[in-house]
Amino acid sequence: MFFKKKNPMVTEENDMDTRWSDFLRNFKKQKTAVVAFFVLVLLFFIAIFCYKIAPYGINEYNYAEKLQGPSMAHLFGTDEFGRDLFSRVLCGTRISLSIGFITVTIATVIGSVIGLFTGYYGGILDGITMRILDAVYAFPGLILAIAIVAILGPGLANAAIAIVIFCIPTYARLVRSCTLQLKNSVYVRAAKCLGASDLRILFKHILPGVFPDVIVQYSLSVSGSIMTTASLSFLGMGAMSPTPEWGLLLSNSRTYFYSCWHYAVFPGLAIVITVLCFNLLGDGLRMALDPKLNDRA
Amino acid sequence: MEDKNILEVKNLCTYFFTDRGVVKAVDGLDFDLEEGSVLGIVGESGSGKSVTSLAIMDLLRGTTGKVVEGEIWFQGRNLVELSEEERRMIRGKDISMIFQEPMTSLNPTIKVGEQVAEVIRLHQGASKQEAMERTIEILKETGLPRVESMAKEYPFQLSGGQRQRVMIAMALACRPKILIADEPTTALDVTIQAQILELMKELQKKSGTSIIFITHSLGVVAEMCDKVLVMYCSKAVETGDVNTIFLEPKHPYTQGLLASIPKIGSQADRLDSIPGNVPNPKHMPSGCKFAPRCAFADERCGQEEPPFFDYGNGHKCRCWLCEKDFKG
Repeated sequence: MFFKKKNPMVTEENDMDTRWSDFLRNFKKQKTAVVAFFVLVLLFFIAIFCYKIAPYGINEYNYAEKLQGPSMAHLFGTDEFGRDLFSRVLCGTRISLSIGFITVTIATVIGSVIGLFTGYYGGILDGITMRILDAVYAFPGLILAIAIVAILGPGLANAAIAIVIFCIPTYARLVRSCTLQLKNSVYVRAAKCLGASDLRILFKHILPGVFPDVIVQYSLSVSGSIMTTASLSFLGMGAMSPTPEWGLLLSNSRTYFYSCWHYAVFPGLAIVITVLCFNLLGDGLRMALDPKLNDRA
Repeated sequence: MEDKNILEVKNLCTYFFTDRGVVKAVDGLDFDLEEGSVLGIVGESGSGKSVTSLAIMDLLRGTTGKVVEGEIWFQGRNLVELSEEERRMIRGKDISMIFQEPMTSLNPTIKVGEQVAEVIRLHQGASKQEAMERTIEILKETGLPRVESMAKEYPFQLSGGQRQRVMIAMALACRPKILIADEPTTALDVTIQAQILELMKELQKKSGTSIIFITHSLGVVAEMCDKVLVMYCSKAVETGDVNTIFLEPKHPYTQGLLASIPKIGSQADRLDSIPGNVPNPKHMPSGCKFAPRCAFADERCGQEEPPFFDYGNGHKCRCWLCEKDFKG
């Protein structure tokens, strides 16, 4: 594998960006992940254009048609106020996806920076930071989120802050362990020998090596984050009525669970599909990015 | 003669402070590097060759190792006393290094050309474009084929020999005064080894860079070096210029090393070797460190450490056997 050498006759164009094309080739082998990817792309479009696609307004009350089952007029039926569930679930996509991505992105950035610095410099700073993060990590995610929301007060924004906080340790640990490994690699030592500064070594030489692991974790965390947002809303600690958040929809549906199956099923399905797709995508990315798993396949 | 030395190492002591005690990796090492010359440091694994180079490069930070004593003089400055930032500015610009493993010493995530260009931009403040032009130039000097396209490739697309050439290009990119080569050819096959040595020799002649060549291959030393420093158990046991060391080795260890080179045409069934092993650094023998393995050792060797006996012309040897040469 080390001696993998390209045919010297190949032209410049198709020789460039091989890492990317290698990745694409490996990723295409993961059929389920590719499907998940396209479902997610679809969900993204829904999230962007949800208010345009939705046949009804999300807060369009119509008491004449309350709690109706699915029909051509209301694909997913209606809720206790006669609002169109299809439109509400559709618009919930934007909330779930944006919370999922924003929280995990912030957590990734903060966690990675913590991980890079603690891993690279070590010492007391590392010890203290990691013990604090271990303490955070020791709580089950949802319990910690509930505790934080209990302090900050309920609401979607506070739920998001809670999710960021409990996601940070995962990234800090992941990046730290990769950094520990990479900082002793010969190429980092070689870069040092050539006079590269610490910051340069961290961000130019170590960070790219950490990237594959972070990307995989990112995809898995987004699904976790969406789940937690929904859970918090379900428990009445996240989104507030009348926001069409999936967890909140589920929570509202409990009262009518025995009479209106559709009220619980469609928001639930939306959560399941989104989370499942992110997990499948994460697994596919891991397979595609890890050369060890690839070679065997 | 003195002022021609570009690097002077005086009484360098580098110890590793481990949980189980202090390991003296380098203990009182002196040597000079003359401007434009090649110094070979030879010795078995664990004799402190690589640690010496790390001490000169200041790469021991973050390990348990520390330079506890000694001076490293370079251009009128004692490197040991400089701050980390000042050391960093010297690294890569004035003193650079090539490592043993060309397979792992390039960053797999950065294109080859960019890695070389990085050094140039770092130390010479060149623009991106200038740096890239310089890079192509330097890569060409190292004899790499189709440089323009190769600069855009990732290290895994290159062979071991090509990567070592890239490493050499990186190390020489800023025309350093000193190049430390830590067994640069060990991981390469023999034909490539010869090419790389040839290249280094050529570039050295062209640029006048002084080289410290760390190796355990005496064949390489004979080919490359002007002077030799033989290390054994964290100390220099014999130094001198190449011809003296190869023709009139005084120290039994040097003699042993030379005898263990297989000779073409000789009918020996077994290779000569030095009996025994390098002593554990935690339980160093008192007296001469080589005494337990030495065929000529007597009682005094086990008790008293021999001093350097100076034969003049830079040839020094640390062995009691040399004493008679001076008494008589």
